[in-house]
Amino acid sequence: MKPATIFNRWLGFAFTRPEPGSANWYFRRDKLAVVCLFAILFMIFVALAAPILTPYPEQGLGDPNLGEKFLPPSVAHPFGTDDLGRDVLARVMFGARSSLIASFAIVSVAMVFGSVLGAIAGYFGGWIDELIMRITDIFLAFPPLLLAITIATVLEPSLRNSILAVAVTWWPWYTRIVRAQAVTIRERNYVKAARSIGVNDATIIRRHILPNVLGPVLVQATLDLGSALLTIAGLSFLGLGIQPPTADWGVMVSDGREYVQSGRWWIGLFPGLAIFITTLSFNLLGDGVQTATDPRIRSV
Amino acid sequence: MSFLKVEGLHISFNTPHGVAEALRGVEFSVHEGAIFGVVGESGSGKSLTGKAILDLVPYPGRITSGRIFFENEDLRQKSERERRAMRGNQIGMIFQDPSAALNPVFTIEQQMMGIMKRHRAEAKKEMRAKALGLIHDVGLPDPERVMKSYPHELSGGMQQRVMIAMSLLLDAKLLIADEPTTALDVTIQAQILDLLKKLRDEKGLTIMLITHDMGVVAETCDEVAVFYAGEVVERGNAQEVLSNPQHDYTRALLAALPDGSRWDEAGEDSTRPLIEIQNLTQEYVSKSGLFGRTQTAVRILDQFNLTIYEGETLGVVGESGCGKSTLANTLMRLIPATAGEIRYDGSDILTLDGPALRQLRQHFQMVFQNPFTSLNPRMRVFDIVAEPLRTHRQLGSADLKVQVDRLIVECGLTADYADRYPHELSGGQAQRVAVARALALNPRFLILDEPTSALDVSVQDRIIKLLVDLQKKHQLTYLFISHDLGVVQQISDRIAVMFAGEIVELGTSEAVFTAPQHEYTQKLLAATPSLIRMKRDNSL
Repeated sequence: MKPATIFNRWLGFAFTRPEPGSANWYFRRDKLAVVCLFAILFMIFVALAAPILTPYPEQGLGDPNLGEKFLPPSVAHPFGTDDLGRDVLARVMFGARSSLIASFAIVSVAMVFGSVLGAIAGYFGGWIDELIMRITDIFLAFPPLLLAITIATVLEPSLRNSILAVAVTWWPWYTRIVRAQAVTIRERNYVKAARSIGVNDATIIRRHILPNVLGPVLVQATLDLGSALLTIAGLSFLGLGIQPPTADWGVMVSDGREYVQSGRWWIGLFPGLAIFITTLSFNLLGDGVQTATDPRIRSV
Repeated sequence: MSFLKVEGLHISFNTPHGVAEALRGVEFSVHEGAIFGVVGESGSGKSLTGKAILDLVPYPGRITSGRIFFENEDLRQKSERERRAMRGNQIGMIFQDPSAALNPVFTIEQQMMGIMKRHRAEAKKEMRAKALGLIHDVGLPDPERVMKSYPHELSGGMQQRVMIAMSLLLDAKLLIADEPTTALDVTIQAQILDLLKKLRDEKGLTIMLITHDMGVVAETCDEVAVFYAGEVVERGNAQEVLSNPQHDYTRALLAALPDGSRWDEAGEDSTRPLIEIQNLTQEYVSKSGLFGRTQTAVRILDQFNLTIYEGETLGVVGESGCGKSTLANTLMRLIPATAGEIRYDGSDILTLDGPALRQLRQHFQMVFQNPFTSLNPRMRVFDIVAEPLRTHRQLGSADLKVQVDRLIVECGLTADYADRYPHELSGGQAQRVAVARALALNPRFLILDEPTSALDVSVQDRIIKLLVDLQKKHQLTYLFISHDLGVVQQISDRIAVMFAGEIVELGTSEAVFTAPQHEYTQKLLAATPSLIRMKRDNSL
């Protein structure tokens, strides 16, 4: 495939004028969702360009600077400095990396794993369906946060393991959504047609089932990004996620908590605001995507 | 003075593409005590007109101009409150699918009493007596039992009768019936149409009958308005319009009706059997009771025998539930058979697996009823038609493109359709794509499962013609399944009439049509709307 073709197919929608009535067209009318999309794109940009944007990249990565402890916000340090004298703005920028990576990773792992299992369960039915769905029931029977904390405690605390811990509690939701869709799609005539042609089961699932459940799954994924970010920040706050000196919003809020009483509010406030804004943006973006793709709730 | 009069009715919809005009100056008038037919294809605005009279135009549509007079009162001048009182009280409506219009969790009695309580202050006893009387009037046996039934305990025909009874509860003078028989079997359709005529004669009811079927109009209507693209193109006395149509579109609609003539001259009779079905039995085990411990076997096909000869078109006719779809699915190896065998090329196809089954899949193909459900909405036409080739042949991308283009063109589309998605096609075009996919592997045997019944009449014609041409060119054998004798007769060499899992009559197309032997076949033929019979007898 030519690069131009690939570009047109995957990214063309962002640059061309959307066809009236398409999901893209409805989405662009939702100004709040578009603003949130840009907020998230801005966060991603900041995370990627953090070493260039801040004058204190080494502090962002964790080097202490004990000479400038607890400085309140100023021109040199717009967000102030923390207990080890590090620039809070630089820490927040570097912290965006782990937070965003974690939330995207959790949702992707859960979505891919859960969707494939759900499609298999829904398409084959019978004992395969029973087996897969009873396993998801077992996972859904535990309070998700408690399960994540348990898994994270057993494993070595690290970014990878905390992602894993949350993803394990997350996939059953996708399995349920996809299975419910797959059961109805299995009966569609185009699946029957593919079977009568002799297309094998794996190809039918990949070509006919999964693309047609993608819509609701992507909506759910966008809505989940916010909660994933919150959960991962929660794990870090409890000390079960990323370990110092790597910057992380959850860890920073946890550290800042000690100094609120003594009037050094900036240490915890700014990472908290970052969590708040990013989560809110993800949620509003998810709402926007849902409205744009569901003909029943959108209006002209 | 007229009973119902519509003047210059315009309705538009706000769409993302701008304002779309759905009705453009519709005008007609209906006389009291007449059955007024509104006929047209999907999207012509006929249902919308019915809804506009009841002030039920769906969002985002709105009436932009025009007047609707009912008994010389302008409905659009009335307040919302007055109009609501009018619905049901003066004007009743019934819909295509009665099972969707009845509430499944209430009995018929509860639903009927609920309607009367809302509008009337009569004593409960009198209301009940009235409901019983109406159920009797619409020809339902044992009204007491019907009153106590839930909708699912009644058949489709009975449900539609109940709907009619409900719409008459409040002494409506006008009944708007929107495709009241489309979801029903042919023999039931005839009964419902008879009932409408009886209500007109006995109760003086005025009926606005919305339909896509010219045959229904010929059978029932006194007056008719032909809708096309949001306008009334022709209106007048039904007999006159049918026998002497003025507008091109009306002529095309009438010409498209099956008239008992055949598309292809019967070829020399082939005697080489292609497929022999022997003692085929299909059972469903339905489980009921706690944990499904009570199991009852339902026989869909019982010791079924049928031979299909090479190069012929065998029409299979029957009503819903007679087992014709089960037969198709078994032949395609989509569901396993309970017992029996199907011989093709010297072997029993029911026992094939692995490479032999893959081989068989290339010889047997199927075209489904509704092309929009048989084409994957996320795939382009090119990938849809290429799928069988990718599955069975190893072709380079250049060869694949040549093959797909050839198939698309052969089925009457141009090669640039390859880039489209199914939703960008019309019903007829989508069905052509489905035919192209079925032909991709040069099959010998094609099952056509009601390939035209989801399409508008004028399109049906062209698809049938395409199928006939392709059969000649590729020496195909067809199994043509339909509930409509008229359509089957157009294309079939032989016809098999199925009833309750058995073939009750099998013979040449002419024999079945002109001299039906079995009682059920005679019933089916009698129920086929009279226009087809009239056309056949050259009385039109």
